[in-house]
Amino acid sequence: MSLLIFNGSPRGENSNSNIIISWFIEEFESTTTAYLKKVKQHESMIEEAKSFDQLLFVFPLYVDGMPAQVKHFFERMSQHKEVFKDKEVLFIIHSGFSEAIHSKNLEKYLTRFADIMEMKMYGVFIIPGSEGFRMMPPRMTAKKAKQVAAIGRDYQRNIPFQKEAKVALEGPLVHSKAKAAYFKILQKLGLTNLYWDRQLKKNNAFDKRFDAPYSKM
Amino acid sequence: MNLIINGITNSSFSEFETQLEQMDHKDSVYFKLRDLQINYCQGCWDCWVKTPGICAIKDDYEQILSRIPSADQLTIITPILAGYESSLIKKFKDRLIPMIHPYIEIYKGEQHHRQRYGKTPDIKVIVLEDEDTTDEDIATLTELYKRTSLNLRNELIEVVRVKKGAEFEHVLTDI
Repeated sequence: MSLLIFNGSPRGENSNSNIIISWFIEEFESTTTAYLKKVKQHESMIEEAKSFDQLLFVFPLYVDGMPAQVKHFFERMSQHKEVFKDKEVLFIIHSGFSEAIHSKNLEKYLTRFADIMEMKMYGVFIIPGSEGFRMMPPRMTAKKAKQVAAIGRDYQRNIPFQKEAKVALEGPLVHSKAKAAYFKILQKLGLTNLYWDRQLKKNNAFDKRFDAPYSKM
Repeated sequence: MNLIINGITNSSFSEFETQLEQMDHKDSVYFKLRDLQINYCQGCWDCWVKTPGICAIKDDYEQILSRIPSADQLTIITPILAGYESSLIKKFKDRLIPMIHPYIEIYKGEQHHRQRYGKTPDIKVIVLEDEDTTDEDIATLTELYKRTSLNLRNELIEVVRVKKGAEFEHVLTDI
């Protein structure tokens, strides 16, 4: 059985979503990927979905929800319920935040969406801390890659996912008070900003980083 | 100033829309998203790391974005489509990220982005329901906007429901 993958990242091929997909599909013999950033192709993607039984959606959290391009596709899908009825679906939401709470509202909605579409919901998986997956050396992401590959394997074999696997991947809903206090110390030392500062400096924009161009309009 | 954002995607709420547009809302600026040329966020992060606070995409969106820091209220009008706010409204929200800063801080015990501006307008949401909208859909949408208010450090004023076929005049006068 082959898998149709929807990469919902606005960055398309050059995305953290694509890295996650590469981990997931290790055991699949064949997969097809559609890029939802190509909004004009949404109708033909629905046509393509007809010949698949299993779907995978992977996208980043954008302002507490799915990227708008993904929502646009969902709206098109909802006008073709007959195409998606009884298909199996799995969603992976990833975000730069290291707590799962940011993605929980979207998880709730995706469950409702699968229900509206009468699809078979396999599960929603949340991956925190994804910003920069693309730039990390493989050893830094090895643990997450293994966890995601295990979920992919179960999905491929029609085995229900291990609840522990979902919990382990998600991490804490919110951090403990101790960890939050530790983060505050790192923040004071400027150590939590290094990833962004490096990019700001590279672009000669470091001095402008607090600019508020529309404050006097 | 009240910034009114109309995220209705087609003519199916024409009566509501006509009356909305005929009303004289004092001290407000009205944007009808579907009549504007607004592109999707591409996730380039230029507004964070290259031209802080300024979006790389040049289109009609800047007319809206530039008014947000000086607005007192943001009124979002959205139909429920597939159980959620419209993709037009989501597009509007995705492009709000120049309003925030990439740096992360602890706020109310959670990680949140630092704000680029001192204040952002409080949010009111007017939801145009369809026949399949459930109380749970509205509860999920309300929770979504509470999260968004937490991220933008403002208040969610309220989520107003307009049921399919129900009276809506009082909603418009109270905008």
